[in-house]
Amino acid sequence: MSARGEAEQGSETNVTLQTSDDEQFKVDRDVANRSVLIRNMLEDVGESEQAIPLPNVSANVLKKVLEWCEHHKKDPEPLAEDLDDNRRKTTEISDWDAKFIQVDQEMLFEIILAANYLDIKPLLDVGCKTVANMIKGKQPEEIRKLFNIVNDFTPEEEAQIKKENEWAEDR
Amino acid sequence: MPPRKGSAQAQLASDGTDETRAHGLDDAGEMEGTSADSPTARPRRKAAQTSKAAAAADSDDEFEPAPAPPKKKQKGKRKANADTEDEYAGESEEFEPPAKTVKRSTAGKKGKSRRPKKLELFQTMPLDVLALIVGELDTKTVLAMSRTCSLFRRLLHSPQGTSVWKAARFNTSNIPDLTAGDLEEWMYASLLFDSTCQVCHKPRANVTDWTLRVRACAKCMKANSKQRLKMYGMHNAHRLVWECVPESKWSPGYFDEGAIYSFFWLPTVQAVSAHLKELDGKPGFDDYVKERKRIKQAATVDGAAIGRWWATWQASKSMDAWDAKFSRQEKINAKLIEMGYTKRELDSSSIQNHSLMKQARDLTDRIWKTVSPKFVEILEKEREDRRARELAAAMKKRADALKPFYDSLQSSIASAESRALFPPFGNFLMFDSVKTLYEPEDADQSPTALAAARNSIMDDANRFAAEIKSAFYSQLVKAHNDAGTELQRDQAGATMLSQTAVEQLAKKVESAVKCPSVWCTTYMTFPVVLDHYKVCGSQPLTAESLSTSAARILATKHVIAVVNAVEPDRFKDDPPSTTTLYALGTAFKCDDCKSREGAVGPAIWSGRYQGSARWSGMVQHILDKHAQPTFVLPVVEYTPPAPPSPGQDNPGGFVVEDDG
Repeated sequence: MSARGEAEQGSETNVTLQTSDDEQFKVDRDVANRSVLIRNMLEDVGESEQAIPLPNVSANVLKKVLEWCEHHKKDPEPLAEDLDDNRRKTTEISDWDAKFIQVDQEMLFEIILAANYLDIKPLLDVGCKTVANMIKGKQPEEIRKLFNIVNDFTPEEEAQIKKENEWAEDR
Repeated sequence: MPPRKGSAQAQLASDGTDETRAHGLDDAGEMEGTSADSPTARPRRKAAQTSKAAAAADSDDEFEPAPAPPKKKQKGKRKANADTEDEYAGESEEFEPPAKTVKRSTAGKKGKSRRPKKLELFQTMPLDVLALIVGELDTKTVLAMSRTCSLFRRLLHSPQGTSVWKAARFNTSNIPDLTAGDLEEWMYASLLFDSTCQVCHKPRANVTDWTLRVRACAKCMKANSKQRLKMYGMHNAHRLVWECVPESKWSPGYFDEGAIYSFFWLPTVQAVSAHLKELDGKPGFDDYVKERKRIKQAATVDGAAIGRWWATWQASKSMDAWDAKFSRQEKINAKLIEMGYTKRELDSSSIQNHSLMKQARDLTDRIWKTVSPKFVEILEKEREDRRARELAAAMKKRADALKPFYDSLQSSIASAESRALFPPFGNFLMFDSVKTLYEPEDADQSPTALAAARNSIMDDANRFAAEIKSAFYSQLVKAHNDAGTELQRDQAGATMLSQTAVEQLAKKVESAVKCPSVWCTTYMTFPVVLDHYKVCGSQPLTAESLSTSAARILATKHVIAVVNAVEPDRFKDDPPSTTTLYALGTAFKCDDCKSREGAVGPAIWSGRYQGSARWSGMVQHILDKHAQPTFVLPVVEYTPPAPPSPGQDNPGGFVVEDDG
């Protein structure tokens, strides 16, 4: 039996996850399997009582991520063609996800980073789309204000930006 | 997918991280590598403008961060720059140079690193996550992002940014790919969505040529986009240049069917010609010409594709704007209904056509807070006006209910002359004694109340009759004196006419007055004219309503004299009166103003045209057309009425003798 098969067989068992601040979470294996990182680790190590360390995720963020995984634990795995960029972009954020992602901006970025680290693509998509929606239609100055981005252009660069559309003349 | 670490900043700034980057970007959207002929290469302008430090940096590392701006001078330069460009104006006041920010924020926390504030994390995102986020944006926003800071600028102007731009183009209604390949993605985006003139950099340049791939203000477009024959000074251009530069073709269509004019972009012609001359006779010339010809062909195809996309996109934007407007309208209506206003009240054009109603911006709570007081103010004012109109309508209804009472009062007067002098209904309603019967909402119009008011109303009516009679008689005597009428005085040499003499004078046809109603030209003697007005007009009369003048008396006398001249016996048995004159029908024509043969249009519209008229029409015509600047009586033609044919009306007043 393959490692994957074993994992499926033991889907009823719980998995312990340990956060960067040493807090432990016991979750259903189906929930944990939403993370490709954890699933691969479980497949690699097989049945084990040991907690899986997640050094890049803090407890409050993991709690939130697990809330999402719990809600989406029965979602089918995305098909290969669904991962195609064009298809992905046409997918709207579901109502539940939109409500779920209504968090403060710091937490939003932490969730995105955690989703990226744990390799939870649908959650990563939801986070990225939410941030993208915050930026859409804004002017450079507004984007700077939104993200506290410092305008570090040199005067020369600013002059360049001003004339930016005066590109190579022999086009 | 293995988890990736490292921020975009770190990845962009570090040396020799190509491997990490390539790895990191693989599934973030298949970032493309650099092609040999389109070096990431910030255009050559950049090379020319790069500072010394940048020049010293490793030119192979395209992600080498731009040198830190000189700390001391930066602020001053920023301020100076802020004045020059609107888009970036004011940022020097809100954002300080990075070095200062760091210093200030760590000042109070010795030994502790500064925790990023909220979304500052955005810049510290791994490059692939950043690419995912930016890949969700539309092209215009990506263009704006590339102008926020040097990090994003470098990222988005690099070959790694190509996939982001492509994704953004896909998100923006599928902007077509370009086949020419000489424009970088950000240049393409700038061409589509920037609005500054590419020549003089003025804002709001709306003229674009997708084949020439230029956006310019009308003035610059006219100066630089020219036909070959009109491109003066280019007679010494390289012989092959016209085959090597994009050419935009334009047909005036309907106005000059079949004609096609070709336009070239002068700066491009100059640059390509110079390059051709430089390469001519040297190796690489043929390749350059071949490539330029390919670009020219591709630019034509691309231009057509962009043109089609642009038209579709504009239409779709316009539709979206309409949808947004109607959505906003519906939301505002729903909110106003929630506030207790009725649909009927909201249908008012001052609400539905209000400039704040049909805007394409979505109605947020904040916007609603700003606009709602304005709608409420309008609705409250309209409510108030409607209430006032309803009260007025109710009062009018009560006043109209007094008409039978008015008629009964008038018919109760025995004398015909006194009955004529009874006020018109409009004046009747102005009496204080009558107002009490209809002005209050609970006015009592019972027979008892009407009977009680009768005496005081009659007193008011008599007062009215006396006033209007007095005002008219004094005018009449003056007019006759001015007209030189010989007045019959009771005693020779008496200055004043007796009441009886004035009353007799008023009954003469020369004293006839026009009906006070503006559009009625009926002439009648006083006080019969009041009886006519009770049917003809509705406005209350004033003392000046019944006016007469010397000119009117003379004009009337002139018309009567014309009849006497043609038919001396006409008034022998029946002295002239308004009735006998009207019986003559349309028998008068002004000789000075009669219609001329073939006179049409302006001759008629000028007002000098005069067809046949009744006697009153002729009097009015003389007063209107011959009284100014000096009163001159015109020659009037009189055509006696013909005897009626059997079965016809008898407008001439002929007496048909009864044979029986």
